[in-house]
Amino acid sequence: MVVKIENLVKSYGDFVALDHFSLEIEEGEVFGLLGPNGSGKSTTMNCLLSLLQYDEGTIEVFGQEMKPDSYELKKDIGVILQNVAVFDELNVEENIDYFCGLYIKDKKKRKQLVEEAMEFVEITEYRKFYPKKLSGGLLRRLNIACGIAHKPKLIILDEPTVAVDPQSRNKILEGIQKLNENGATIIYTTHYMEEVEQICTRILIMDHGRSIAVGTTDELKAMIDLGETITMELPELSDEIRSLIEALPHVIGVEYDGAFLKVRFSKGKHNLIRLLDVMKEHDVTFRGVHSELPTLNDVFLEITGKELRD
Amino acid sequence: MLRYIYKIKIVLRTPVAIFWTLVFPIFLGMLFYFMFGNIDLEQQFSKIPMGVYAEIENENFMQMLNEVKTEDDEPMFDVHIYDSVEEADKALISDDIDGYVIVREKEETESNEKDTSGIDGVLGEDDIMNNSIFSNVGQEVIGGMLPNDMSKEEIISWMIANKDLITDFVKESGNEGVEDFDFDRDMDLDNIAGQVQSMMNNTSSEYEMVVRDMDVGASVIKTFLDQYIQSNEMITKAAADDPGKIMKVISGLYGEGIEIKDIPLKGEDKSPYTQYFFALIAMTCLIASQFGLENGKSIQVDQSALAARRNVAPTPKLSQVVTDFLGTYTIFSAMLMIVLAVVVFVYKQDFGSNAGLIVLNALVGGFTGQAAGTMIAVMSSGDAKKKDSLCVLFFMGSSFLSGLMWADITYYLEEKLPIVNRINPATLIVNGFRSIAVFGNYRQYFTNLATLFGIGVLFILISAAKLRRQKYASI
Repeated sequence: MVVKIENLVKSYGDFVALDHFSLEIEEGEVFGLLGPNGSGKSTTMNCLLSLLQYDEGTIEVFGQEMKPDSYELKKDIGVILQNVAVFDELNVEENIDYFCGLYIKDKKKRKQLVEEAMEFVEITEYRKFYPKKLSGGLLRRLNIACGIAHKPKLIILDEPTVAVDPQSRNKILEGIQKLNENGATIIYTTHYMEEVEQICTRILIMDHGRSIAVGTTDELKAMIDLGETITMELPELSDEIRSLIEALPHVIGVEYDGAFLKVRFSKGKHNLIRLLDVMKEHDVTFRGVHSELPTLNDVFLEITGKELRD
Repeated sequence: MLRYIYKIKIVLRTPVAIFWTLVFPIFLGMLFYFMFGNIDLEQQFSKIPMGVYAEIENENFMQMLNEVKTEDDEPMFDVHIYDSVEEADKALISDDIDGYVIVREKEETESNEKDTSGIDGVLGEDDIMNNSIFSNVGQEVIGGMLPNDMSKEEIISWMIANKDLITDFVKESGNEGVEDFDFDRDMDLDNIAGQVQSMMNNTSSEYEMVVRDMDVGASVIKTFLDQYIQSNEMITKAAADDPGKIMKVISGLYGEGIEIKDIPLKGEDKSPYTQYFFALIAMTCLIASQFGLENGKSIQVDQSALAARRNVAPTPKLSQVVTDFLGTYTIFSAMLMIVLAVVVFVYKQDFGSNAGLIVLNALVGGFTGQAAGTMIAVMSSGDAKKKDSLCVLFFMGSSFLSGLMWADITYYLEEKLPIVNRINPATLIVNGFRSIAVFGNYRQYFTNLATLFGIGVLFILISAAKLRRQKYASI
């Protein structure tokens, strides 16, 4: 077990940020912590890193209690925080060297690690650039390089792709997968469900400081009734047709906004065929149609009754 | 070492830090230089105008006043004699004199037995500061070792007859430069005999000093009066207790005689505007508090993501803070040296033989300033802006209380709340400069320096203790 959190409670006055929160992370996992803003993801990470005091519960890392002075444990942990944490006065290479130097004393070894870190996030050509001269994406990559240069066994990434362009985001996500392939256990917190689905081997959904559901993507989707959502571009929809659609087998919801018809089906076969038959029989013209399998947002919506991105 | 080097790089690449510790003091110094630079320094040093109103005749006191000289052998005082207190007050209020001394017959009251030298308090009208100083000179001068009615020549003869003993005592005094003391060469017999005679004969006077503001001139008058009275006490008490001590007294007067002559505006600092440069250097020292503040903030998790990242590293935060402190202090010291070099070589401020001590005082001042900034960052709660404000408050408050903005505040505090003057870093820095450059008082200088350093160490220890225990309830 790389990380074990049991019954963690953290309050800010009357506000309970973590309410008996627990999780377990095995070696080699890419563990996603998914939840809306304010759900307690960052608080969990800060408690895990002993940056924050907590009221109750236990936290173990690599089988040992995590405390502020657990320096031996900290050597094997890499942290990439939500906000970019680098020195504006040091260039790319110096920044990575500085933070790597907090972990690695040997100058020769550190030099090699800094080179590898720059290559890993593909910023070698910007080594003499100061942070203010870097784009948002490059800055994020520098932020990651500073956190992973010492080759930690456990890497904690707290929303590392916030305000990053799609190209840089993909690079970051690819890099995280590569780190995992190289043997690191990853904890990835985000409110972007697509990212979690893309890279995480296991996911914990949290809300109001509590763990709502945990499992692989498929396991989570299996927890809900929703099978698929069919969306149809439709100029108009009569009440008669709407009633016919609502009467179809497996239909659990129908929404129409004047342009798009969205029909939600529970798990079952031939839903699209039945829907198209209704349209054909009543000579209803539509422009396009597509079917979506349930997403983590659907999982979150069904469990909590609200959207993941609120 | 790595972090130390990077800290130095970080500071050197921070324009704001360079501006306030290097550019700003040099610029301000340049303003002083152009404002006052054309003043002929030698002409500016004039005698200190002072008055005497003598209810009783005291020839020795008057003689001593007229004999006190600067290092350049110029009379120290321009003495005006007044026939009444009213007349003296009028001269004081119209700024004709910096202060006056009332010489009156000593009243044989209980209070006269106390040593009340120093400022008693503010009395009277028109903000006149009234300073009563009583002499304790007894009748039993020198306990029969020397008769009271000896003439100056007789005292000189007596000293020559006992020159071996006096030489021994001078050498045993341990004062600077006495190792190769030579009685015939170094002993100003006429001066010392004059003092001994003055003290022997001066047995029944008391002195009251009246000044309007405790400015430099008034300080010099007070210093002279203190020295004069203390010398009286020394020669009478010591000799009365043990007639054998007369040699010590005379050997002491060898040093004291020089001191009386040198303490006021010792001559190392003749420039009327050197004070501005001292204030400038003191201010630069306090600016170091900003370095300390940034160091303190940069390790506090609730201040920045950068601090959080440093906290999750396996390097103890205390070690990181110490390295940061050393890095910023190195840069501060280097910048201070540049500022001082510009002050000396470009702005032509000659600190003379005191240059080393002035540098030392500034370095210790910077250390304490930086330590204060660190403590403010560590001890205060709230966001960065609040900490910044507190540091500015410290900077401005300490400067104000030291008289950098309003000179009289230190004298007011000396009366009402003297502890502030003993512990306020800016006051200690400024007094450190003044004590050597203006008064040549090395004892005062080293006392100030030790206190200043002690306060800095205390700030560091408090910060370290707090950092070790610091946990965060919220980030």
